[in-house]
Amino acid sequence: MDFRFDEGEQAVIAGAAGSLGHHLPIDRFRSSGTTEGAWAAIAADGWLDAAIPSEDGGLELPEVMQVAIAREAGRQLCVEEWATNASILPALMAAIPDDATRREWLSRRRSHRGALLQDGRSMVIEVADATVPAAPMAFGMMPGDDVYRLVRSGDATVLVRLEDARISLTPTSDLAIGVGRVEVDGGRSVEAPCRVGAAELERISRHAALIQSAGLIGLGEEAERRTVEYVKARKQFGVPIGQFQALKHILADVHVANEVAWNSVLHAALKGDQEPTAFGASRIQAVEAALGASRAMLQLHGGFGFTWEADVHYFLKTAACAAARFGSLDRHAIELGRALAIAS
Amino acid sequence: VNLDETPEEAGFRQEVRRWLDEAIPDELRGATAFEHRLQADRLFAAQGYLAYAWPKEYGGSAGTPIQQAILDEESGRIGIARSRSPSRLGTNLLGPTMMVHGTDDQKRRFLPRILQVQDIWCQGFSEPEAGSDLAGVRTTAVVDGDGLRLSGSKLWTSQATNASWCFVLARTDPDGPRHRNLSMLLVPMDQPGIDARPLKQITGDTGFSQVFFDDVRVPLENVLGGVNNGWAVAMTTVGAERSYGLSSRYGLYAEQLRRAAALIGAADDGPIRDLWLAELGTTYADVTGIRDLAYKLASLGTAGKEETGLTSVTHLWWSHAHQRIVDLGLRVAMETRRDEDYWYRLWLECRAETVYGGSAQIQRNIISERVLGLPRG
Repeated sequence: MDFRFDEGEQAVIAGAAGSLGHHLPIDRFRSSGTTEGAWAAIAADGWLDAAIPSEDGGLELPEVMQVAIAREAGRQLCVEEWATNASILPALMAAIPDDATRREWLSRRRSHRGALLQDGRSMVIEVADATVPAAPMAFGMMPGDDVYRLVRSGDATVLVRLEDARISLTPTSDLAIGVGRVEVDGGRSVEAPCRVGAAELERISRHAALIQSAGLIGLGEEAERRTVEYVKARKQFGVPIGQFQALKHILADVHVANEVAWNSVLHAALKGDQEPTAFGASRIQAVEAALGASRAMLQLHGGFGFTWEADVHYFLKTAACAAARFGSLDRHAIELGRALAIAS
Repeated sequence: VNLDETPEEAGFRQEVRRWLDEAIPDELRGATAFEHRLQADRLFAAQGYLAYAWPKEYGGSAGTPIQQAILDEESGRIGIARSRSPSRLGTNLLGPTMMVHGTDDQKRRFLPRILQVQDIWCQGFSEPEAGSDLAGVRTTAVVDGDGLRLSGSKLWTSQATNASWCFVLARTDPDGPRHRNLSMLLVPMDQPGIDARPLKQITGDTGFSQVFFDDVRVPLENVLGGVNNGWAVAMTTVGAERSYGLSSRYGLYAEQLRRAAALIGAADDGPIRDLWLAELGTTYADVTGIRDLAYKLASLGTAGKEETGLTSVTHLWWSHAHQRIVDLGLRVAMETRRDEDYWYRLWLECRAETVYGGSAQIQRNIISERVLGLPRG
């Protein structure tokens, strides 16, 4: 047992941090330009392919390294789209039986960011009965994305990809962070058979939720880091406000929550197969930690934190919306509690 | 990074589990009385498990922190709280401190007796005017010939009435600079001039005392680490203190949570039960956080790495997580009209956990200053 990353693992993580930090600066929320080029660059570095088997051109890294990379993406507030593109889409595409088709789909995903057109709040990814052109709340969707759907076709399931569709997201300019009600219009549609059953969809959803949890750890840790820097620099009463114990203690609690949550995500990645309760525990800790860190971030930035100009609101909104994806915290808590009550 | 036990670690867990099953009688499992806990210590000592991590030269087995965590976790699982072992002050505080600061003669005199449960130690640090501010101790010891004369009083001294020895932090230079005016004295409790008065706690128990020293003579060879070097010695002790028995806390609290889960499982369906189920889920997530921190500390320790501030994170986490578990247990017990005494007593007991060993507020100060680098006020 060694609950620490070794030097080789640390080198991989540092590589991911460098690449993601360079290509996905948080400033991107302010420029209306697309991050398409950045996405292809990240893919070229291989980070989007951590979960993909080597025979399909992926890195085939263990789950614990996948969460470590997702955490680095989370520091750049790349949370929802990472869960979709690094976890859900590769997993669904892995279920495309024909080798050439599968590799073609995986390959397009490297240059074109994708998003899933369905209500992301359910715990398990759903198969739609018909191709509805809207979803009440999609996650990690931006104009220009490929739009994916999972649709029933007779007894089979097909994965549908819509290219160059017009995507309208509500709310858009007010609150947009890529989460909201989505309508799509036009575009070219391609489909491939996708052999996933209910159990497989549940497994895929859990993995994606764990990847998203890891992103939330990165978000929380970056919120902590930035807030610590801010309270060291900001002066009131002639001293840095970080000297005041009332503020220190809030940040200490944020630090503790982040530490515990990251350990919990690592534990779920390493032992989730043998311990069914590990996933729920990590979900609860990760979401709580990210919400706590981003709320504290706003509070300690004072009035500045409530302005559009400060980056604080991107952290807060990403965390708040993420908490609703893959099933609410309440749902996870009660399911976990039920499993424990039955077991005892 | 991995959480897989090596064949040696897995074998050790098997060995420990088998031994615990055979050696620990039922009446010691979950027992809180001092005599019962002492009896468990003797059984552990006979098996060589009492101070398993001590170096071999001092009679230990040089067990790794991971093995220690396994031993603690398995003990906790059957209701033996290593965190409450009467020998803990000797095995985990004084012993490691003496290995760093003690003379060869002191090591020969004291360490074997700790290992064989012949001496039970208590800790004389806190005073009425020196709680979180340890440097403020007023108990004084004046050098007089080949000894010192010790006068003053210590407070919150756990197991003072049961202990045969006390390690006392006393002021030996009234004019010396802060941190260069203290000494650590090793004081036999059974002698004239020492009066340990038990304090009745909110649970009705008498777990700690106020200890009075009235002109007690202490030979110079009983000064640990040299006269006026007590601050450095005490810092070694404090550094050794906080993560002790962590895995046994995990095992113990997980068992308590299962007890609460059983009450909830047997309760009538309805909205209140659903509320409890959700809280059961979140408190379970909290208790597994203790386990993960124990793994991390053990991994760092085994690799010989520093753990800057992680013991403070850990203390904050286990103490609050335990209080949340017991909060839930008490509410469920009261509502279901079952097991109330158990949970009420535990609820009172666990209030102390965010106070002793460095209060929650002190831990937050340590984290914010030493880990986050925020300026001192």
